[in-house]
Amino acid sequence: MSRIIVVTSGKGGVGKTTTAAAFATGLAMHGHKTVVIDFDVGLRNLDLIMGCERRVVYDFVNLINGDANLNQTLVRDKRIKELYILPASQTRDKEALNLGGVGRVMEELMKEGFEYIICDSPAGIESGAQMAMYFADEALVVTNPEVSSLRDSDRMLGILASKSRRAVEGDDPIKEHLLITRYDPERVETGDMLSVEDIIELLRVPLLGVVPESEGVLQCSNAGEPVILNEKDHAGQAYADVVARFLGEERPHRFLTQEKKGLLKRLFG
Amino acid sequence: MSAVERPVPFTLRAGMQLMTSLRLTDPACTDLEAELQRQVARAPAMFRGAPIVLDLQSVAELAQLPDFDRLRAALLAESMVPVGVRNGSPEQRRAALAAGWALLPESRQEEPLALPEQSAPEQLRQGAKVVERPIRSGQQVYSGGDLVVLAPVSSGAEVLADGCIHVYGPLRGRALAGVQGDTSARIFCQALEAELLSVAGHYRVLEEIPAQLRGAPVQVRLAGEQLIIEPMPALGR
Repeated sequence: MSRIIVVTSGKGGVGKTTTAAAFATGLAMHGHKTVVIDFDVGLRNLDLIMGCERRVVYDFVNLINGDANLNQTLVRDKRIKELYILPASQTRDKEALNLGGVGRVMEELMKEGFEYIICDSPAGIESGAQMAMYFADEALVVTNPEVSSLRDSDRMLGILASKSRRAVEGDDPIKEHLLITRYDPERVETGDMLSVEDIIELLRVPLLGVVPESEGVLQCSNAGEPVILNEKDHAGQAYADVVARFLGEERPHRFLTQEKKGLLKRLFG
Repeated sequence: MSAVERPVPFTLRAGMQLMTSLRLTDPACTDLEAELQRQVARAPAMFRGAPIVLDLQSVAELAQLPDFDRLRAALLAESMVPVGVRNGSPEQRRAALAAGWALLPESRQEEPLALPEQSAPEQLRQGAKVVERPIRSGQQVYSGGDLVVLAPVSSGAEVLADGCIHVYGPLRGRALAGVQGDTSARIFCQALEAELLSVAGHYRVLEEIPAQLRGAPVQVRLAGEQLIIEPMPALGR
């Protein structure tokens, strides 16, 4: 059985693509055949973060228009065996996608035996974001601990509940997961950021994970490496927890409180 | 086979329907389109496809004939469906019929506005609508009767009802009760964090919720022209 999972947020810059890349990579590392689709037509980034930008020949729009077949379009990851990337078109815009075409691609991916189809949504709530979420069975709603991000996530949750295929056809609703990214316990303590409890109270969505603010994320995306592959980085570890939890493993939430600095560290920074 | 057993493609039935009426006060229809657009914009979901009865009672004494074609076009432009006219002078009714409007029986009350509209609207009002999922920012939920929400109403969301509104999660968005003008409608909530509260068009924006009411269970009602926001009366003891 294939599961279609959309990574969405409403607001831009909260870490959707970083999450989609790490999550898809993590699922594949567990041995599940996974494809991650970049729905951000015109602002393609997933290929950079996955480090496959020089191997893109055809793209999602070519596939929808029938200019290329699935095997020609899918880019196989060089590091992880069961991981594939379906890149967006950089030269087109969101209007190039249509529900019929996206639906056909989803069906084809299911037939190819993909267990997880990860849809990396563009920012906003317009057609591009709606295409990305329409066929979803589950949603990772990515939120930063600040009010504007929260409101946009809330709006997106409303759209998931009313405009997705499952909503339109009266199926079981999309299963929602909350993922808080760029969490900084120090700033939560000083009151600059909302706490995990505040966010859950406001959004009322089950928490899948909290990813701490980390320098490793930027370094990894510059290097074209999903951050989950960096086992030393806290964000990488948090994503590994997220994937394990998603697959049914129980893991305690980490990185929620400020690290106690030792005496030496406090003295010498 | 006898003709009696032939299946009939429809059944014809008389029935009472609740319809929104547009009470015309200015037969010249000054600014009709703009005003209609403004009022519909406040609750588009409520008016979309709604049957509209044109009530001519207020202009029945006047000799001027309203422009029925213009009224029809204006209603259709706002996605409402003009159905017929009620009341009005014989000339006005003749002109309406000629313009393709149905003639509805005259309303029995001479001065329905002056009546405390209690029994009639409540008999016709629909049952309560119950919502169990959170109402998210940007969503709008309307009930033709009472509205009961067993989940939070997010900031940026809007709940509307012809009758009362009950919210058992935190109320963080806007709540408008008695939107058809029922001044006896009330809003009840478990935790007041609302952005705007309104009963029968009397509204109040809550830029600053008084500290003793913030997050508290409250009821909102209308006393004359004034919107009262008060703590829920303590029960028992």
